[in-house]
Amino acid sequence: MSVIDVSHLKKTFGDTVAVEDVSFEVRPGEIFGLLGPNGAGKTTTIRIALDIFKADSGDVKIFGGAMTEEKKKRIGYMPEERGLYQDIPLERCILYLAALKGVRKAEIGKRLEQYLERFDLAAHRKKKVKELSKGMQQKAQIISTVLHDPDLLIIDEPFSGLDPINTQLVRELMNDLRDRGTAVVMSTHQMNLVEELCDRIVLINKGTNILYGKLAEIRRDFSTGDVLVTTSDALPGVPGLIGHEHRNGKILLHIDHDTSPQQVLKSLLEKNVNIEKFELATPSLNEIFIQVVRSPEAQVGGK
Amino acid sequence: MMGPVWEVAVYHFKREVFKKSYILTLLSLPLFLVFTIGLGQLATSALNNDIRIGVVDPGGFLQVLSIEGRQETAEIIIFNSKIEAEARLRAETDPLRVIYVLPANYPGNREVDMIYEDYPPSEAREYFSDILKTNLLAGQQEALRNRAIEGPLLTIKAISVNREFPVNNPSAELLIPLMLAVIYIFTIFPIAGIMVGALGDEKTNRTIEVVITSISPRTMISGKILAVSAIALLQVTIWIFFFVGAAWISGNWFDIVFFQDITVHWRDVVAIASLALPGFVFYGAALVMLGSLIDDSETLQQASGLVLIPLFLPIYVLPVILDQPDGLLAMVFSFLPITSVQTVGIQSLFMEVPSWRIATATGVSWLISLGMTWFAVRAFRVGMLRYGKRIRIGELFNRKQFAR
Repeated sequence: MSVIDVSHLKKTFGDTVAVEDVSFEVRPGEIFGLLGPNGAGKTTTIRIALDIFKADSGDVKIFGGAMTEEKKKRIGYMPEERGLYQDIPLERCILYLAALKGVRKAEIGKRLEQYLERFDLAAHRKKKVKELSKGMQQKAQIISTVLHDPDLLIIDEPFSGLDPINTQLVRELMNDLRDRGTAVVMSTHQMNLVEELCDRIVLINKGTNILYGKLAEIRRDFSTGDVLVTTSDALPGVPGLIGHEHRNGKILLHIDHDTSPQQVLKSLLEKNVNIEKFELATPSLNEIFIQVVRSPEAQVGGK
Repeated sequence: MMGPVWEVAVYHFKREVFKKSYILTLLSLPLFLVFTIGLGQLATSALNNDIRIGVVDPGGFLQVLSIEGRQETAEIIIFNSKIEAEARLRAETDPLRVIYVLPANYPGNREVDMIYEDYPPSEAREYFSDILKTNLLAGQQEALRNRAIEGPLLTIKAISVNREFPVNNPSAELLIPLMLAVIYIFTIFPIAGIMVGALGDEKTNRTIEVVITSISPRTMISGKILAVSAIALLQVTIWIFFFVGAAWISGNWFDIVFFQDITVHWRDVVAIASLALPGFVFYGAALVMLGSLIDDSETLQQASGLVLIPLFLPIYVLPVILDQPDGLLAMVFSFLPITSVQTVGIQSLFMEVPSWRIATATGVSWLISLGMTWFAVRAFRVGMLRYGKRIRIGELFNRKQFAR
């Protein structure tokens, strides 16, 4: 059963179309990337999924049906605009938000202790939230989002404001949650982290799906057949090779459409080229993102 | 385990009542009253100690220079000569405030000249007037004399209703409902500030988005209104305790007759209390609705002032209510949660508002207040995260916005 099943969502605010036609599903035990340029409709989609807004049309199923108060308790949500009470102590703030999820201090006291230690906030628990740094508030928000052990976690820009050490902590946390079977929906513009963490993605532009599926498959689909070769030898001319360029200590070989990478490898080996590494040149998610968002199809509302 | 409404209510209640600003608000009215009354008492006692009245009475008419059973509020000094009295009026030390000159044939013409440099205070003038009356009525029976000095007593008694209001000397118990209504008005203002502040805060720091993904807007709003109502009740209770204590001290320690032997008309108190509860809920809901529709906290603060204007409606039409405390306008106002407490507070001065009417007004007030709460939840549902986007009134009635 899908944790989230969104089908043909549409939402307008007055004359503004925020979401035109968005569909995707999120499964248990995966990290799902909800991607798109600014103003694409990601936040509105999340808010509709969470029953904050009602869609004009389309369908949303959470844990197999409509949102209920009980289901809300199984969800952890961290919005892009952080939401913590600023003028109360950190621990009290986290416990109150946990209480709204139906869990009491007696049940989660030990877990809270562990999270505070893990995120290096134990010494700051009595401080008012507004006295904490931006990074600390970010970590506190993450704790408050996962403290009740949700089955579905929706997080918007989880790494914003974090240094590399804390980014690593959050990365580990997300992997832990996935391993425990939690479905994680992550919206971020940090494509390197999406590549590292996400199993599947949906890319929205102007309120419409433009890419959807397994990340590895999408990258393979966008591959041109070019290959990256690592070698210290000079590159001889081989059949099917129409050009090459140096990239980060490697050589990117452009191959014509009628030639396969295997044929090029065979030709190079026949010419005694000492090859250290030979790999398919798949584009980065960042390149794919820019390519599809700037494509003419995307400019008129997606494909 | 506490329900989520209770959870929200307890959180907001604790958060607000332990703030310094709330504690200051709580103490403000009692401190203001203590300060004002204390200052007034000091001024009066200083004034009274200082009043000296000179009387030029060549005919020796004034035989009695004090009034039986009454505190001397001025010192009367008799002079035989007007020149001597005027010299004392202009003296630098121990001067007179005023000189009254009684001609030798005063009992015949009943004319008195008053000489002063600064117009004398009413205490001095009234005291001399009463001394004069006492001497004029010297030969009469004591009861008659006292009654004449007391002057006319005006008692308002409305036709077909069952309460009298003595204008000159109203008893403390008659003023209790009005006092409660005043406390109610003074309570709504800080409560409005708290409600508007809490909503503005949650919208500004975006906590609202986290909260409503945990509980329903209805739960959240109900919890907030419950918290605000409880804060209001706490404030009212503390203020009432203060007034009761102040009245007891005034009556028992300072022997102020007005505050002695006060009989509380519990019926009136219950009536005001039963109307105040839906009143608090109504204003709480109205402010939630406003907070849902307005993003900008400055505009929100200003707009909340508009919501509170109806609190003063019964004051604006006070002459009409005083003229006809049982009239149509007073009756209509007593049925509305925005005006019921204040109106019944005024009506209770002159009449015992019938129980059936209080019961009906309470029922109507609750209906309107709960309706307002329902509407506020809708406004909140539509407007809570629409930062900078205009909300059309039609959206509040659009079923699709609220369908599951």
